[in-house]
Amino acid sequence: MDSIIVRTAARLLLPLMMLFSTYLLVRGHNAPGGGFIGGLVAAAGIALLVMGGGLRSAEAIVPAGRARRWIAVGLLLAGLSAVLPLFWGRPLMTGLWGKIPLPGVAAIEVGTPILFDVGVYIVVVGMVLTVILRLAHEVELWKL
Amino acid sequence: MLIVVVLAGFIAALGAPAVVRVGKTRAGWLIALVPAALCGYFFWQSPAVFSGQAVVLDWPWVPSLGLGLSFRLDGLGLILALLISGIGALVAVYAGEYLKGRPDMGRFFLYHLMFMASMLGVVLADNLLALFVFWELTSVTSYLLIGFDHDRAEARAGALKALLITGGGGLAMLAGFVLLGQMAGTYTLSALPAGLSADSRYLPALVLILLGTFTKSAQWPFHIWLPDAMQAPTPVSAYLHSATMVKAGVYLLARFSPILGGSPAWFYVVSGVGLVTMLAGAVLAVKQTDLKAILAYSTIGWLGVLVMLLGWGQDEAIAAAMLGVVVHALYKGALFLLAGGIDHEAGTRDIRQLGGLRRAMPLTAALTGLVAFSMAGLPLLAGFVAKEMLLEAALHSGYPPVLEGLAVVAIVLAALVNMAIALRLFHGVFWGSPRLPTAADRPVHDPPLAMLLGPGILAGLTLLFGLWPGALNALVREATAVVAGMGVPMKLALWHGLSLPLLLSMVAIVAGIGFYLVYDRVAAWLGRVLRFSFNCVYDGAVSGLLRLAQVTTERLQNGRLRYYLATILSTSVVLVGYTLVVHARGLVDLSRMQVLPPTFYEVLLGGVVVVVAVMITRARGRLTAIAGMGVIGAIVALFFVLFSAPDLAVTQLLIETLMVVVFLLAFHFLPRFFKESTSRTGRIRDVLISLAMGLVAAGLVMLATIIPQPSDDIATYFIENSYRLAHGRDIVNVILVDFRGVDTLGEIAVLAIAATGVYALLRSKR
Repeated sequence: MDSIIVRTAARLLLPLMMLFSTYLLVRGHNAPGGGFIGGLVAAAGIALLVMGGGLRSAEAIVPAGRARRWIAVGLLLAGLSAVLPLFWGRPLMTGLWGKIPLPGVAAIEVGTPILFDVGVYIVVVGMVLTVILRLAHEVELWKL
Repeated sequence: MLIVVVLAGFIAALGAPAVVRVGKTRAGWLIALVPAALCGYFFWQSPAVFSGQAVVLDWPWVPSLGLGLSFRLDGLGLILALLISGIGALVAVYAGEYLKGRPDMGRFFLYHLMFMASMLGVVLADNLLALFVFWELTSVTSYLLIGFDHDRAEARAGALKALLITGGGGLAMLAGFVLLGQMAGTYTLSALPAGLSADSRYLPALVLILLGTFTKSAQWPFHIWLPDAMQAPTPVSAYLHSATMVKAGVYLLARFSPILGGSPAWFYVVSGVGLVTMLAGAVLAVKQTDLKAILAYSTIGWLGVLVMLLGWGQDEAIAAAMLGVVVHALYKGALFLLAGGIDHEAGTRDIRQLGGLRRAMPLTAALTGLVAFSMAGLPLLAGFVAKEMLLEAALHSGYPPVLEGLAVVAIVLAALVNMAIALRLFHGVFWGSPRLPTAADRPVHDPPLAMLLGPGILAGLTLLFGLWPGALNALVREATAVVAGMGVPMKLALWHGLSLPLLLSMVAIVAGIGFYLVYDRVAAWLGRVLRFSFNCVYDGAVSGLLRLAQVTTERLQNGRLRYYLATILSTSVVLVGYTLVVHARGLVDLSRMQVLPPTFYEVLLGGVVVVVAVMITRARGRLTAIAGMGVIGAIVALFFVLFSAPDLAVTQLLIETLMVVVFLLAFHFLPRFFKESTSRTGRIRDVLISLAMGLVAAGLVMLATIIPQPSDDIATYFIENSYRLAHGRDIVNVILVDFRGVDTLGEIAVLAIAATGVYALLRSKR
C-alpha cells in the first residue's frame, strides 16, 4: 500500500502520537492510560508510517534490530524495579515512593511502580515494532 | 559467614575463565586456592561442630512458600564438606596439569567451581526446597562436565544419560519433599519430626525420595549412567563420580534416616537395593578392561555397601557408613587420579595393554599400591578399618538368620573381588612383562608433580588413618550422632582383637589372591555370559519417548492454523465444559440472579455483532473476513465503554488496530483463501465446535456473575488502598503495576519471548 496521503499524514501524526503516548504513560497512575496503552499508541504511530509505504523512513527512526534490543531494556527496567525493594529488606515488587519537591509547585511523587510502567512501555513498543518491522521487511523482499 | 561459604564457589566460578587467561600454566594452583580456603574454614569450624553445636545461618528467601536459604553445618555435613572442598582443591591442581594447553580450560574450571559450590549447598542446606535446587544444580554441572569434550558423540550421550537418570530421580525426590513437607508442616530439615511412618503419605514419600537418592548414588538398576559418565575428563570422574557427587544420595539417605528410617519398608528396600548393587558392582567390575570402567563399577559396588549399611540403620552400621564415605573418597579419588596419570603418560587405559610399568613410573606404582590395597582392605590401611566395621555391622544387621548369613557371604564375596581387582590394578599393571604399544613413541615416566600431589596426599591420608584410626574418631562420632539421632559411644581402632570379622576379612584376602590367579579367564568368561544390561531399557525408553513426541507432533502440529484452532477450542470445550457441568452446580445461587432488561445500546451492539459474525462466515475474500473481525473487536471495545471500563476499551481498540496491521502485512504470505476449503462434514464439525465454544464461554460468563463471590472484599481492598498504599487513583493501572505487578512482569516476559519467536521464525525463512 503505497499511499502518499497516508504517508504524509503519518509523518505529521507521528510526533503527536508520540507525545500522546508519553502523556498516556505519565498519567497512567491516576487516570486511564499506563505503560501498556502508551506503548501500543507509540507502536501504532510507527505502524501507520509503515502502512503508508514508509518502511524506509520507519526503519530510519527505529531499525528492527534496535526494537528487539528495547525488549531486553524494558524487561531489565521492570525487573530492576521488582528487585530494588529487596535491597531495603522489603518483599519483591513492593512499591517504594519518594517525593521530589518542585519549587513553586507541589511536590511530585516518584516510585518504583513508575519505573515498572516505563519498562512495560518499552517492552510493548519493542515487541510490536519487532513483529511489524520484521514482517514488513519480509513483505518488501517478497515483492521483489 | 555460611552464606559466603556457599556462594563463594559460584562467584569464583564466574572469575575462573579470567584467572585461567592470566594464570596460564599456574591456573590450577590459583583456582585451588578457593576450595582450599573453604576447606580451611571447615577445619576451623570443626571443634565447634565436634562439641555438638551446629553452625547455623537462616536467611528468608520466599517465606510464603516456606523457602528459605537456611544453612546448617553439623557433623554429617562436615564430613562431606571437608571432602568436597579438600578433594576439590587437589583436583583443581591436578586438572591444571591434565588439561594443560587446552584452550577451554577456563570453561572447565567454571564448571568445576560451580559444581563444588552446588555440592556444598546440598550438604549444608537446611531447607528441603533449597536442597533440591542445589541437588539439581549438581546434576546440571555434572552434565556439563561429562560432556566437556562436547565434540565427541559418546561424551554427549553419556552426559545426557546421566542428566536424564539423575535429573528424573531428582524430580521424583521433589515430589517426595513436598509430601514430606505436607506431613511435617515444615520444610526445614532440622525441624522435621521422626515417626511419620503411620501417615498414609509416608510410603509414597519414601519411595519418591528413595528414587532420587538411588539414581544419584547409582544404585542398581539405575547404575547404568555411572560407567557412561566416565566419558568425562579423569579429574571429573575422580571428583564427581567417585569422591563426592555420587555420595550425595548416601548423604541424603543418612540425613533422612532419623526421619524416614526405622520402618520395615526402609529397612528391607534400602538394605536390599544396596546389597544387590554391591554384588552387581563387584561382578560387573571384573568384566571390564578399561581402568576407569573397572573403577566405576567398583565405585558402584561400594556405594551399594554404604546404602546397605544405612538400610540396616543400627549405630555401628551408621558409623561404618560414615567411615566408609571418607575412606572410599580417599582411595577411590586417588585411584582415579592415578589412572588418569597412567592414561596421560602411557596413552591407554586398557589393562590388557598395560604391564611392567613399575620401572617407568615408580611413584605412581607406589601410590597405586597404597590406595588399591586400601580398597582391598589390607591391614594398616584405612580400608581395613572400614571393612572390619562393615563385617561387624553385618553380623548384627537385624536380618532374619538365613538372610543375614547370605548377606555376610555376599560381603565376603565382594571383598574378595575387591582384593583381586586391587591385585589386577597393582600387580597386573606395574609388574609382568612390559606391554605397551606406545612405548616406542616416547619414554613413559611419572606424571609431573601437580598430577602426583593429589593422589599423594590422599594416599598419605589413607596410610595415616590406617595406622591411627583414632584421628577420625571425632568426625565419625559426630556424624553418627546426627544420623542416629543421639550420641553414640564409639572408638575407631586398628586392633579389635581376634574376632569373627577379622577371620572373615582374612578369608576374603586369601581367597582374593586365589581369584587373581584366574582373573583374566573369569573376566573373559563373564564378558561372554553377561550380555544383558539395563541399558536396553534406557535406550528403549528414550527412543520410545522420541517416537511418541514425533507422533504427537505430526498429529497436532500439522502446520494448518484451522486444525490448531479446532484442537485448542475443542480441548477447552471438553475441559472447561466438564468442570462447569460437574463442579459448578453446587455453586449456583439462583436467588442472587437478577435479569436486568437490556438497554437500547446493548441490543443495538449485540445485534451488529451477530450480523457481522454471520457475514464473516459467508465472506468470499480474506480481506472481508479480516475487516469483519475488526468490526467485532471494535464493538467489544464499545461494550467495555458501556460498562465503564475505559482502560480495557482503549487497550482493546489499540490491539484491534494493530492486529489489522499485522494481518495485512502477513496477508502476502497466506495461502489462497477458502478455495482449499472443507468438505461438508468438515464444515458441520467446525460449526459444532464453534457453537460448543460459544455455549461454554457464555456459560462461564453467566456463572461468574451468578456465583456468590467469596472474595468480594478483594475489590474493596483495592479500592480502599489504591491511593493509600500505591499512590495511584486509577485502580486498573495500580493493579497492573503494583498489586498484581508480578503477573504483569510475567506477561511482559511472555511478550518478549513471543517477539523473539516471531523474529526467529521470519529470519529463518531465508
